[in-house]
Amino acid sequence: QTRRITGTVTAQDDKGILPGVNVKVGETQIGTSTDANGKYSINVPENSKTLIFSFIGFATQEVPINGQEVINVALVTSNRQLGEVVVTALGISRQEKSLGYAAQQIKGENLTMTRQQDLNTSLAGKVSGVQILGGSGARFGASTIRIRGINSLQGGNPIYVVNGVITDPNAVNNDDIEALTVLKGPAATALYGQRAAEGAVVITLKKGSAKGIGITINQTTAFERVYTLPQYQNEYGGGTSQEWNVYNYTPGDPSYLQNFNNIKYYDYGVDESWGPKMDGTLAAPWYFWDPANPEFGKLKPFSPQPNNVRSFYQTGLTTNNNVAFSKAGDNYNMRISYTNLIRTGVSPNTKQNRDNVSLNGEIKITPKFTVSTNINIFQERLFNVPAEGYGTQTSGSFNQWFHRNIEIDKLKNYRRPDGTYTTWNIISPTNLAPHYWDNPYVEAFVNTAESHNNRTFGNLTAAYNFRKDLKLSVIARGDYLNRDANNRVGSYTINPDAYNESSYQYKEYDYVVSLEYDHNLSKDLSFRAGAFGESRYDIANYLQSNTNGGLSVPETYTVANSLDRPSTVSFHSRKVVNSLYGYASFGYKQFLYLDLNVRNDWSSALPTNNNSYLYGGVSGSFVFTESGLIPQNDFLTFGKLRASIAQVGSDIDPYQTGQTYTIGTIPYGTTPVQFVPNQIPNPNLKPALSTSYELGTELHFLKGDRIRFDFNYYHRNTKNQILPLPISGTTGYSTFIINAGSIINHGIELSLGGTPVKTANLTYDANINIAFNRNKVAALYPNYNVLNTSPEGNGGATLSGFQPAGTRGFGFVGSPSFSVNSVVGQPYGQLIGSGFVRDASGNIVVDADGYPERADNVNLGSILPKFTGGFTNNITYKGVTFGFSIDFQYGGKFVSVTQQNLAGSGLALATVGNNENGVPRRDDPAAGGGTLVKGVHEDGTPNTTFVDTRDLYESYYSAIWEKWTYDATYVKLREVSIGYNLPKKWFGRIPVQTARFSIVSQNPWLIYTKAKGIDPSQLQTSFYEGGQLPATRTLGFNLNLTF
Amino acid sequence: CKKVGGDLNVNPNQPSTLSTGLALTSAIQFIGGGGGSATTDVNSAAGELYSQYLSETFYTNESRFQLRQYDYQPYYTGPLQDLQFVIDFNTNPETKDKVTTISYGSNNNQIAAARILKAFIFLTITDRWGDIPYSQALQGSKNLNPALDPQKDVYTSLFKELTEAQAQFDDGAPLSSDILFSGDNTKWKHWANSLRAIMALRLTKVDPTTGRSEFQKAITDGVMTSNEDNATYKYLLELNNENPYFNNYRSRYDYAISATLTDFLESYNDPRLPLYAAPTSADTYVGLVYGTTGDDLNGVNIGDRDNPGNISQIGSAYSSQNTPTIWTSYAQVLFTQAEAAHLGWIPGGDAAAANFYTQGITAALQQSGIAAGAITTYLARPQVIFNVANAVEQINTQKWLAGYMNNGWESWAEYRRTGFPHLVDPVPTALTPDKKIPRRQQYPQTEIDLNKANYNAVIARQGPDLQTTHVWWDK
Repeated sequence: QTRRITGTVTAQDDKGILPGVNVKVGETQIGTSTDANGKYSINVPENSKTLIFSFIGFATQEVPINGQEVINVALVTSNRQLGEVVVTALGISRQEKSLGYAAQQIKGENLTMTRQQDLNTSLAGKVSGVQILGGSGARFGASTIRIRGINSLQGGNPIYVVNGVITDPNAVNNDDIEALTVLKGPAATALYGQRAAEGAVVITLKKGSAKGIGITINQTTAFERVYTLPQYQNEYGGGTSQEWNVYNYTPGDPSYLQNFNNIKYYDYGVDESWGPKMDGTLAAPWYFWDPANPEFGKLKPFSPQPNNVRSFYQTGLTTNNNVAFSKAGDNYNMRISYTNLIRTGVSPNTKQNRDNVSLNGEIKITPKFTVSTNINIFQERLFNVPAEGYGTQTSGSFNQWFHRNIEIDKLKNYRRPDGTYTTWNIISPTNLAPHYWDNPYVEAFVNTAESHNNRTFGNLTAAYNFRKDLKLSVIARGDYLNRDANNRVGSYTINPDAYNESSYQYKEYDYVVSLEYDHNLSKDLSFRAGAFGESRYDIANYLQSNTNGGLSVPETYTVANSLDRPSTVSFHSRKVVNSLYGYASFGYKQFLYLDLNVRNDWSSALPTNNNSYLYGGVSGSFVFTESGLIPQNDFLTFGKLRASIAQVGSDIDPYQTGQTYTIGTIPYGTTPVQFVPNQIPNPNLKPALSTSYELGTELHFLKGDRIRFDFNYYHRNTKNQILPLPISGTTGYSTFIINAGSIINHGIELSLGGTPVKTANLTYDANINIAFNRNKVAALYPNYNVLNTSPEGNGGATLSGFQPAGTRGFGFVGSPSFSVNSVVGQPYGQLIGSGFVRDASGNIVVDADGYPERADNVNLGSILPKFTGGFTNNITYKGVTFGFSIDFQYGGKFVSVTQQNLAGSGLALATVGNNENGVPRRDDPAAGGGTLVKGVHEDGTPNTTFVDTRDLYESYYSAIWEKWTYDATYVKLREVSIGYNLPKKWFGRIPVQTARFSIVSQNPWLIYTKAKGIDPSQLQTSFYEGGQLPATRTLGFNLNLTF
Repeated sequence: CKKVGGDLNVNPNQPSTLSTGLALTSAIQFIGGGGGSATTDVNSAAGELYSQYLSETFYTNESRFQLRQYDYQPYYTGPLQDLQFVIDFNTNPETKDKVTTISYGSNNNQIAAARILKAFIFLTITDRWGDIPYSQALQGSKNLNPALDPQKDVYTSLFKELTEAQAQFDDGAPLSSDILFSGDNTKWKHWANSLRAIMALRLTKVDPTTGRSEFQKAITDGVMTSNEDNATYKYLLELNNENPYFNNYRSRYDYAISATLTDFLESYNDPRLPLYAAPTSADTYVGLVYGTTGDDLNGVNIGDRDNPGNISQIGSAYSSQNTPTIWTSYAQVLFTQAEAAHLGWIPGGDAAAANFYTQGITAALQQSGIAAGAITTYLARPQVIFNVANAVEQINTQKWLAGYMNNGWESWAEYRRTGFPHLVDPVPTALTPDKKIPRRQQYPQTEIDLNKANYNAVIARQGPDLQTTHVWWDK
């Protein structure tokens, strides 16, 4: 005996209708969902007591039936991140409580709290076990994340799955995200196969709904400023001696200098600041000698310019405009979204322009046949994103090497009437050509670079329900990237003028056929299963051309204008992976769940005899609070135990199994060259397998789940990885591609969330998470205890572009270097480089002259942090919402080449001030100056000899990387937002549903860092930075309107 | 659904066979260098600095010996490996007759040239580092941890290699794409035998018996007979193949001519001074004292090509875009014979030594383009006239003068062997404990990281991995 109940579900805050809400009869499997108008109708057994309404982003509500026939419900939004329904691998929506592994879901609105446009950065601090490896805002975002430490000896990144399509996180528009789930381990990701070896970020895009008119407008204007810069000294200017040079005209000098005599000047031709004291002495600035300069021949007081580097940077401006149209009816739903982003960077003459169009729609052709599509178009124009590192187009030219007395404004006049350029680093008074560095404004305005990224990705799905419980789907997915890029080295700059242009295409075709079955086998036992066949075809094409030897005609930037024969590189890559996979899920009485999954891949990149590999996993969940084993109570409201074990397999990039011979790109004149590549190919490669297990529990306390606690332990071992083993070059090769190694990660993830305050007007939600990961390299290859690899991977043709291999270390030619290594028995990422010689008590050992001695090959520590975490907060008071998030990291080392150069070039604060004698440390040690290195001589006697400060920093400390190795510990206030829901009456008759104004800020406060002047959360690479761009922060204003 | 397998995993980007002649070109181009300053060029800065031909003008760490670990791996992964494949492709019955092999010269001619080049590179490596991976090197996955052979064994093997290689040339098709000798087998032979003579003389301190016998055999097989025979690497008028010092003089001007060299040239009234050195703004020739650093560099200004400063740049004849560099010169071989005659290794005694010495100077000055009259004048100068009492010093000083901007590694080796010419040694500002000119270079970090057992073995045998440790022939 059943009876019918109907009703409408709305959102409490804005009274908008909610389609797609799950409606279930309590203690049964009977359920339905609301239609596009938020209406539902359900037949319930006579004896049923409650209806349960659940929906992503809203608190689940249980309503007593009490004989009612119409039950209308208003759901309350929830800030809970552990949503009840979680999108898992393959986009399968699952009840969170049924999962046997940790999967943390974040709602779209929590990603866009501060309108952070970079997807990865917006995850900072919000998901336990996820470490953000950020970059400077000056290079327009593009950070990466690391999930549960490093699982591969070669590093690697998680995949981003947008409505089933694996694509680049940069192409995802945060405004379009409905929800995002971070899948951390093989148990969660095995169905995605090999590419998810480092985890998966599964993103569901918003669908059309029938709320209101269906228009949303979201406008943000944000201002960006440079935040962190190194600590500079402001006592001494350019040069190598505190003594002034004196100019007197000598015959042969340019005649326009003939009236200048007894002019004090410093050494412009050096790029260091070991020069005279900036005490206001009247002296000749660099432009004094330039007859084309308006201030030719004018002496200036030699004074500090404490903000000269900071003043180079400007305020960046971002406008981000999003409009979305959404509609749904009985047989369709559709959402169209358009976003335009225009951003100027803090570095002059830099710009980012982005357009996103997203279409998400579904049509029910017949009750059984549904066709849906999601198409995303992403266009980006990047103009002049500054490079990092050592060279042109970087901040290194005036951040690592500079004169502290430079008035930055004077450099803005960067071009002379004759077409040549000014610079602070002129060779000498009589020679105005640049010596080592161009004017930074020349770098910004003349040595330009641009790139265009055009990406289209999406899917087309046809689904046919043979029966209510049996569905056949055919899915075609595609991801197409076209990138073109060019860059210039300007004519008349310090380097030969040059132009290069490249184009890159990446195409992925992916076809899936699936059969899914969802049936309650009995009243207590639910069953769900799916079988999938997939074929994926990846194509990458790369073409790059550059001029050689300069340009024939100056200032004409084409490859054809090359003075010498231009060079061209072309590259094609093809790969096919076919797969069969499936899953089966059993649920018993809403409290016991078991999941099985299995997958077999056939990869074209592996040797034919080893190209098939099988893997899978088992996971289970036990909700003991609903099992009847413990009585229902108001203290422990929810309790679950979960466990899983799984494997995931991996292959490699194509073309690594057969020997080829490289045609050189630099021929000898017209004579071509060919050589043997440096990697030994391996026709016997096998797929790699990674095994993991995890255990966890989730507990909710107090009525209304006011306190939520989650604990997870995982253990993962990746064996037989396919990697290019670095081998001694004396073998004739530098790497050997092999199966090797065993790397173990284990760790715990804790999160504690809750709603400490909840009254009618005031709600305070908070969530703190912390993750400890321990990593150990268990084995490498016989006879190999140290493996030098890059955490940034091996580069090549990727879906994000054609990328160079990550760097494995750094060192100036012939001088001591440091590198990042796997060492057997130790955590991944040991920095090994030159260090101090120390005695048994750890004192620095100095030589007879008082200079520190150097030891090569010192272990400087691991790059991996001891723990990472975050703390997010949301306070709602009436219409005002205040949110902020903090993230932190403890431990992990990095090397700062910038700091090394800064000290060597006399720019660093540490190189000035008085020594223990009260005498300026830059003065001659013979006169009481110099620096005392705190240490002992080899015989154990304490060092008392003061040494020349410049020599110490430039020639001794510069070669000791230990001195420049820092702890990456930081605490950062990452995001702050204050929002106000504008009263509807303000809008009169305009049918506004919600209107919200927010003030948002990113990176407002680097609360704590061990490395002064460096933001460890915005490093250039995961283990070092050299000439990196400064960290930035933003302040923005956001207006969000829905109609 | 596309099938996995078939030729899907065959690399479409690079050929699966080696065109051997192009690999020979590549190997020669590699050690010629160009377009930059690799530490594996035959005329690399370190060699020119240790020999005190040049001084550093501002950043002085290399000339003050702060750089210790130099990397020899690029020699192995680059030219040595390519040359090994040239030999293998010309030997293996499956590949020796392929068009991509045989169209670059007869199998024997290709093998012989590749062996000579390999020997030349190995000689450079062993003279720089001492004991080196040799007999077990270049075997790829067959031996991932090549042992380091004692330098003595390397020398023994190189004598054999060069002897066999110079005899291996045949009348078949000459080498094509030979950018060193344009396929002239005789020049290759003369070079090989000259290298044997140079190597043999290196043994004066450690094993004169072997040195003498190898020297005689080399002469019998025929060494260089004129400047036409010089092993000259020709840089080209293009950025990627230009003289590395021209490259440095595009903007940096890191190197000035050393005062050590200008002092010799001035005291000898040497006509090469205005060629080796560029005039200063005062139209004088001023060398920079080797090792000048810190405040002593204040007021030192090298200027640029258009606006000379107060110290001399490398003369334009030696730093133009296509200024060639001579790896082994006829003059050098004559000086080598002069010393051998003086030692009694070859007949003629000091009379022959004097004759070779005079011819050596003549060849050297001709190589620099000095006119005959000036040569005669120079030969008549008292310091230049052969003096038996100072024979070794005179010969090696002249050999050093002739080697300017050529094979700096060779000049450094001969300084270590003979102590001549008189260089600034110790260098007062050096950043090493003993401040002396290095006796070798330290092994690359990769030997410590990736070949530890063999590294430990070589330290136990050769001595500590320091710049102060003497190599075998440098006793």
